[in-house]
Amino acid sequence: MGHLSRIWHVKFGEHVLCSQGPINVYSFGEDTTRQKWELSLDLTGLEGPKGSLKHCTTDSCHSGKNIWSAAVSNREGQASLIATGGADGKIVISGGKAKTGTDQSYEDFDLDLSFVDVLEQIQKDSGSLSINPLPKGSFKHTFQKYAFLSDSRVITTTSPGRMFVADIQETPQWKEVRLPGEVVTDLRSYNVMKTVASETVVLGSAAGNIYLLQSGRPIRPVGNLSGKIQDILPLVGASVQNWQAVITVLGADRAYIISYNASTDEAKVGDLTLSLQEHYIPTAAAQVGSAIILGSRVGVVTLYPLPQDKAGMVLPQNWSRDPKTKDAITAIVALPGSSSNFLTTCRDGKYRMYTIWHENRGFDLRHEISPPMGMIEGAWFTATENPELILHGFKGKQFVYYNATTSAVLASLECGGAHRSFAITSPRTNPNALRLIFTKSSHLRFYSQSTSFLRTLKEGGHGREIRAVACSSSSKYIATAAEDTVIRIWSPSPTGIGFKCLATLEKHSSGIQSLKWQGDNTLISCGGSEELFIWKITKIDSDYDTLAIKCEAVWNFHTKDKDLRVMAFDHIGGWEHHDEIAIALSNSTIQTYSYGASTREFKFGSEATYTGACPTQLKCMPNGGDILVAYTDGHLAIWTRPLWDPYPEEPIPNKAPLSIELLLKLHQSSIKSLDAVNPVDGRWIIATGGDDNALVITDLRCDDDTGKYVVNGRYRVSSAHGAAVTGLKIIRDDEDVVEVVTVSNDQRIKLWRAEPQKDGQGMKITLQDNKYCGVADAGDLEVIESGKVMVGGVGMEVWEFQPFKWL
Amino acid sequence: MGKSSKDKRDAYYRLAKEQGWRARSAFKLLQLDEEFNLFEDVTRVVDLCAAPGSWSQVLSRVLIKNEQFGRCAWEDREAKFRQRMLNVIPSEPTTQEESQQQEQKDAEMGNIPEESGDRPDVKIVSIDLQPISPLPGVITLRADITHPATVPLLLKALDPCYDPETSTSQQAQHPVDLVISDGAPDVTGLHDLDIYVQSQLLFAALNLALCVLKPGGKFVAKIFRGRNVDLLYAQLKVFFEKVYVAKPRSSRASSVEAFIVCINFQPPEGFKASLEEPLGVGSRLSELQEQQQDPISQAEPPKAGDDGITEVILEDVSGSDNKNRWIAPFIACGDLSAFDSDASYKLAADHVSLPPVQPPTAPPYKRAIELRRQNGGAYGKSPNRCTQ
Ligand SMILES: C[S@@+](CC[C@H](N)C(=O)[O-])C[C@H]1O[C@@H](n2cnc3c(N)ncnc32)[C@H](O)[C@@H]1O
Repeated sequence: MGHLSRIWHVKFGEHVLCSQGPINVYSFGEDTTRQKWELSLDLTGLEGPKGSLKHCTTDSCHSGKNIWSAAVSNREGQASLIATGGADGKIVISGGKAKTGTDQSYEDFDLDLSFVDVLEQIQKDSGSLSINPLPKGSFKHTFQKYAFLSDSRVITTTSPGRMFVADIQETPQWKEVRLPGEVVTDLRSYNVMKTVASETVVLGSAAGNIYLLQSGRPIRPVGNLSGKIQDILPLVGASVQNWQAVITVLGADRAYIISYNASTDEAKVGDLTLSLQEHYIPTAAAQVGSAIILGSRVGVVTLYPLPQDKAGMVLPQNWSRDPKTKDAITAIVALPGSSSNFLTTCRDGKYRMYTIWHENRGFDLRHEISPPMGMIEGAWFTATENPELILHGFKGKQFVYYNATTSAVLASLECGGAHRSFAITSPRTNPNALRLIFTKSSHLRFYSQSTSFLRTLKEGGHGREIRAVACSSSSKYIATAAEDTVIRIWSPSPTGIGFKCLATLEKHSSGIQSLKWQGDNTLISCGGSEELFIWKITKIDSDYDTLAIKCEAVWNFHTKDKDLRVMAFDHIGGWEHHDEIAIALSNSTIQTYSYGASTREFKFGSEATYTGACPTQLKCMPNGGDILVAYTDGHLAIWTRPLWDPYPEEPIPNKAPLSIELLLKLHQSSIKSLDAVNPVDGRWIIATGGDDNALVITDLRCDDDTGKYVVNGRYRVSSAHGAAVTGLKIIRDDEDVVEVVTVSNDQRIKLWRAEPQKDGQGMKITLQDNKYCGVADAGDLEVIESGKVMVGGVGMEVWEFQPFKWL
Repeated sequence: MGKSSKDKRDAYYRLAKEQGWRARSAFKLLQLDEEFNLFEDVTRVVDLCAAPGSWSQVLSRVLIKNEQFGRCAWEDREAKFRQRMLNVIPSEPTTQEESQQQEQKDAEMGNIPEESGDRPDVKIVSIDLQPISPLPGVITLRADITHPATVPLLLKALDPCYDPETSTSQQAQHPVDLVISDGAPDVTGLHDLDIYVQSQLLFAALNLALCVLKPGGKFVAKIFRGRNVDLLYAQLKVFFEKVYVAKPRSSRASSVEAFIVCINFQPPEGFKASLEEPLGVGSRLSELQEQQQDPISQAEPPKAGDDGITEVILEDVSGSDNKNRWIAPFIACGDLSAFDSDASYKLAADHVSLPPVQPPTAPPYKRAIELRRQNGGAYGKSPNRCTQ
């Protein structure tokens, strides 16, 4: 209780007349929480004023990032609006009165009811103790399963076998469902219950009986399957009228389909079955185009052709060979407006998207992402013009309800942890409203919200300093990577102002050091804990506008403790079957690898160790494999190695040893930024920025006879900035003029022009422009289109410049 | 992070424990001294923001015990060997004999008590908000350097006969040769705020230094090189003949930390230090700057030439306003064979991770923040960038 840290702000919130009730007080702390307190004041006492403070709630409003600014409205008698600005760049609002009046509005309540509470309410209303027979002897009275019959009607089964239903009119009004005695006995102790269609639930019992319960109608048995009913999985995406569901039976070698025929009002159980592989336990089911997709308890996704006949057993046609998880698939849904793409959610905290090949011949993983949840339990798309993906699940002890499209937490509720019975419903067009019912310490908790607790006023960005900015080949996407371990993909906003965040990639476990694109669809990132990932970024054809992102490969040549940092990398070159990359590690080594285009595997090539100094930058010269590496000791090395086989048939890595071809001292201390260009054949201009505040331009040429590098000159501007020069790009490389943009921790962005003197001796350097830059602790600089650079640091900024000012 | 893991990630953390320093910061001061000869002819020193006291330890051992610490205290022998091999540094010793001699010499440079016996004329006063465990020959005070009441406390510690009741002056009777300050705020992560608070600590240290420093004295202080740091450099230049910004190799290249080294204290004519009118607020400093003849000339031969890099005479056509701004020359300290504070090292197979010499003094909420960091909270999962 209270803050675990320094407190940044304390603000008064809503109050009634001071003397008549407590005043709400809000505090905001370094522990990233917002806390609500009630201050009761007594100003009349003889010994002077007295007060007491009562703690009410603790909320995190910026997903665990610092809250830097806060404002609270405190007009008398009006619910306060609380606005906060966070280190994530977001401005969010909470509190106030929700807008009501729409058809689909929900009430706001949060009830905690014991079994006895519910019984008492039923008795009070109906006057009788129980309409269903009570079990003999002492029996534990607990709630078991929940299901929503509709937005405003929820049903629960209980351990004695009785069923209660609540109609929600402001608050839930409980009634008991009248059941035949044998049904009560059958459902006692064990039962499963799922909503399969509007106003319809299906129940199953340990004895294998299946029941259909529709609103306003008595329960009816519709079949028996020999064995204990394990689960009932609504077939998501099947017809709404003639709904279907998949019923699983403990230990069975098949799953049973229940099909409802709306015109005959008949439900057929088990005429159709799906053959199961050994030990296959289905946990989710959906119809996607002309296929039925099942997900299993151990993460396997299986495709069945949609049965053409009314009866018989269907054999699986395809299944995921590499499921990438061992956890249960919790939901499957087709992407909106698509008959070949579907999404799965999983208890491993990830959701994945797949594309089914032509004629159901197979399916491919396209997208794999971990939203900030520990376990995802379900997903649905809003029925809006631009569909949004809504997820729910658990994170630690919280139930989390999350908009994956806007990255907004719509509700977060302390529920005691995963593995509990719950049911959830939400209006299809308004994901911000929510009803959730679950068991918590044998009580029933019923929560309803009319709108999300937090409303985002302004979208944010990274929660910490951006360390790398990279623009894809055709300038379609910009990727940023930050100390917050997250990569974000942006595209210029449709409004022309600012950028729209298309995706966040959360897989790194420590700060990211470097980021580069290969074309528009491959992104490579590296950072601490020996992590280097290759990402595939594509577009899926559906009404859901999203990028499909998957980590295609993980570099895994780890040391025992996995505690080196991958400081930098670059692409050496590409061949028909493989690519070669070079990486720099914090233990002063550089290594080369081949990466097979189809094997998606790294193979070790060669390795070289420098003095012990940490490498900071690595860049390959596009001449067949020389590697420029900058170090913390201010040196720049050109590593070289003989070409192995210029056109290898197979992805064989180049094993030739690396040696230093040229070693140059350029800075007094760490080289923080580097760029190199090749304005004319055999000539190199390398620009470096240092921790020593200096900008150095190195002029190199390749000797025609010996093939060795020759230094034409090294030219230094000592006090180029007041602080470390952390970002640098060469933006123009004509034969006689080179222009360089630099940024520094001194928050200046500068444009330099370097002109080699005619006689080949000396370099004229002029400072062309010098502006204040709003980005603190800049980490990188990238040209995002001709005449535009983006600075990334604490936030991002785009600078336009006129590079050819004097021409 | 495991104990050994930190030893690997941070060579100076490991060295500090092995060599008995209370904090890895000791190496920063030693490396600054190596470059600037800070302790030459120094007997009276004030160490501000000194807890847990590794800088005071250095002072105590160098000035009182007359010990000397050379490069070999932080030299990475393997790196040196590789540097010679790769020609990063010229390969001096050629024969084996010579290299043995060199090693002998290197070894001697480390930690040799010159004369035994303490020097009685030495005076060291250390101040911090946090308590500092006692050190031989060091007077420790617990005080806030930004508080005016700290001045009389410090003056009294320097001159026991100083009487704050009767004395009208805030100037030390027996001024000191050197004022050092390693002060850093508990960073919040809000850059502008952290840099501002750091600059206020720097001004507090400067204001104290102005009261106690003798003409010709030196001032060394931690600085965050961030926005408007060039204004600070220019302001310090009002009081000292030479101002450098220095980065010891033991300070991480990835942190914004650097040290300002000010040499030859020359207060402007008629200047009287006064805590009633401290520098850093109001317009006093800019007035002083106006009076200065030529604020930015620092007759400093460009270091170019000796490293073969041509220093370019820059032409500024940007038209930007550089009034009252000046960039102090940068100097990296600690030679190239020093351990690299950003690199990861391999530990010997039999490496035993030592416990810290002194547990760091940290406010209680630090623990909570540490926990949250581990959970990937506000700072992401990476370790804090601002090192001690
Ligand atoms: C990096 S530590 C100093 C380490 C020290 N030089 C050593 O070698 O052990 C920074 C110190 O500044 C101190 N500090 C911060 N603000 C201060 C203030 N206003 N007055 C005195 N000390 C302060 C902190 O208590 C902390 O101990």
